[in-house]
Amino acid sequence: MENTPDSGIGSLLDSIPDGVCIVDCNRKVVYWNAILAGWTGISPESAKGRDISEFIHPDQQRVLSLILTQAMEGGGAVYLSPQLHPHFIPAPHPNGGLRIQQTIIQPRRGPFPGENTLLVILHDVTEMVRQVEAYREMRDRALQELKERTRAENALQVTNQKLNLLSSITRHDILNTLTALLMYLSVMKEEAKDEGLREGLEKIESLGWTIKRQIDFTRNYQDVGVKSPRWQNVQSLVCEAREQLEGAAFRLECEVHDLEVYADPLLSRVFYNLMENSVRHGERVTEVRISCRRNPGGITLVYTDNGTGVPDSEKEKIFRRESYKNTGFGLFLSREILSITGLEIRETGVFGEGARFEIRVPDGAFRIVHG
Amino acid sequence: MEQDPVVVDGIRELINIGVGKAAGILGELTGSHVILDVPTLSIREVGDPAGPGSTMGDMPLSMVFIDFSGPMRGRMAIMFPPESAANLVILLANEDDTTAEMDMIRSETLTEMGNILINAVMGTISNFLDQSLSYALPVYVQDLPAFLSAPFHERDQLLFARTRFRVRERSVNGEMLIVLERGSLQPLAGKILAVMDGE
Amino acid sequence: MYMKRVLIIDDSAFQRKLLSDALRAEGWSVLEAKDGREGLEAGIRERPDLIILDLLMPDMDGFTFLKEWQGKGISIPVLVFTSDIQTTTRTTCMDLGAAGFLNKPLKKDELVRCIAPFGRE
Repeated sequence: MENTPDSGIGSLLDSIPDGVCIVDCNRKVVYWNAILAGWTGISPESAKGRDISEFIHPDQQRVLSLILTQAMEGGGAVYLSPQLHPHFIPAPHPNGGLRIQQTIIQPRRGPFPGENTLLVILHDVTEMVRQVEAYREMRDRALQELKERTRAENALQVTNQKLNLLSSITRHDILNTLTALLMYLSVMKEEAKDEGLREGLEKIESLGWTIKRQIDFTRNYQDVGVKSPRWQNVQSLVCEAREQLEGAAFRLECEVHDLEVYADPLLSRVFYNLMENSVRHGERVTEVRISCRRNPGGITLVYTDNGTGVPDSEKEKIFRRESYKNTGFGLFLSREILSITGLEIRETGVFGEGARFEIRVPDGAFRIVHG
Repeated sequence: MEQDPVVVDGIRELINIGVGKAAGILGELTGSHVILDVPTLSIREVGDPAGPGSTMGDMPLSMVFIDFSGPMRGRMAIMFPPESAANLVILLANEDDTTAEMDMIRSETLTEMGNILINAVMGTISNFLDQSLSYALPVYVQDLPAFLSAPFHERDQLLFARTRFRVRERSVNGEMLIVLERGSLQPLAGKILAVMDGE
Repeated sequence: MYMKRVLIIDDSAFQRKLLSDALRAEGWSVLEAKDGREGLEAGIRERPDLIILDLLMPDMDGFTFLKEWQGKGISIPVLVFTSDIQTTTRTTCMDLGAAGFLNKPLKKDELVRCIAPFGRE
């Protein structure tokens, strides 16, 4: 036949790394290249003259019959994807299984009717497909883990809600009882004639107030880390905190603009706690200043006041629950709130020259948002 | 520029025949019955502002196109929005629909289906004209529809057809685009008009 | 001489023209309707010898027409002529009482062979 490869084109087709065969209009093989022979173990001499359907995968016969008819009837190339027709001409892969093929069947029109042929090119995509399958497996595993993690988080949330409810109820009952107890103590104290008895009652009253503070602490602490962290504008939070201390006479200077920090939604409490501590314990605070500076790896928010400051020996203790000057647990809570998103707080002021709190915000936990 | 409704009707019918053939193959491949909707067709110029895919949003679409030459020169494409592309692959390959991501395996499958559709339609048209065309190999891209008509001239013709398949309760919306270089539409329009005039 | 009459129901004027030209050449007299609803009315009114029916049409499609036609109990045969090549479609149409099933595009000799039994002498 005029359009079967002569030795020149034949040797060219033998040198490309794809399987190639040519089929005439009667579906007989007229050319079978060396690669295809190597893949299938069927020599060109053995393949020639046989019907192509002898070599096509049995599962694919019906559909391929349709498609080959289309190709012969004047359409363009037939394109067989690896997913739907992975083994057009089954050929074993050296690593096991069959070669996965991408197949193109290109009609070639002869000069005369009945001289149309089909050029069949099989491209081995086994490795590429296996890589994609491996990636898919990894992706599916990750999605599954995510699903399980989400389920666990949801379960934890439900448990947390139940615990919170339980502790709210318990706390409420205890506080009611405590309030009544403190009220009676107060009356008894008033009526006590004996000095020793009155002192004893005062101590009991003080213990009662301690219990109340501890219960208040549990109410505040239980909310830390419960809601998802979010981006918050620092200037807004600072102003909000200032508004809550309306009666306090200090000037606030906030030099932080357009800064957002990624933190627990209770971040506003941190600024409130700092300002409240300044007012309560700073003795002579008339100015509070909040500024920001850049560091390697992040920024530092700096809170300063012009009060008495914190002695060196107390600088870490103030962040514990049992603390300096009965500051309560505000700073303990503040540290906990900040730690949710990797922020840190410490006191670095000079005693006698005012308190100075530095809140370290790492890269990724802050951003500048204009407008 | 409005085309003669007779020509629009004739081309729509040819596309309908091509789509029917492709649906038959799709049915074989999925092992399920395919329900077809009536296709719609409009003819515009490439430079027309209400361009192709304008009803498909601003997302990149999965597209397969084939360039052809001969008595007619141009390009035919089939465009699928992401959900339809995923549905088609899921139907053809019996996959679980864990994700709509078009990885290499899936895009190959879409290329095959797009090729079947395009060849069925262009084959029908070329058989009607009794002329054979030369086709390039199909190409898969994920891009905005304007990509398809970018190489063409503003005054080239754009045949824009919309079709829908339903298989096993999954819907596949596709938009077909045939861009014809100037002068390529004339033989087709001419033959349709000749048929209608009883020549 | 009595001329056999055929009613063509297809929403495409182009397709109706192709069919009617082929049928007239075989000595048929042709009536046309552009959708199932119009076809139903024309079929009942005109009582042709044969109906050639497209499936994919707006308003009333071919399947609905077949159901309605079967419901009316009129014995005029309906030949389905459609672009839908699926065997499932063919089976559905035959179950709905279609007398024959042909695929588009029109192949004249196939059409002639198919309609031959339906012409009344």
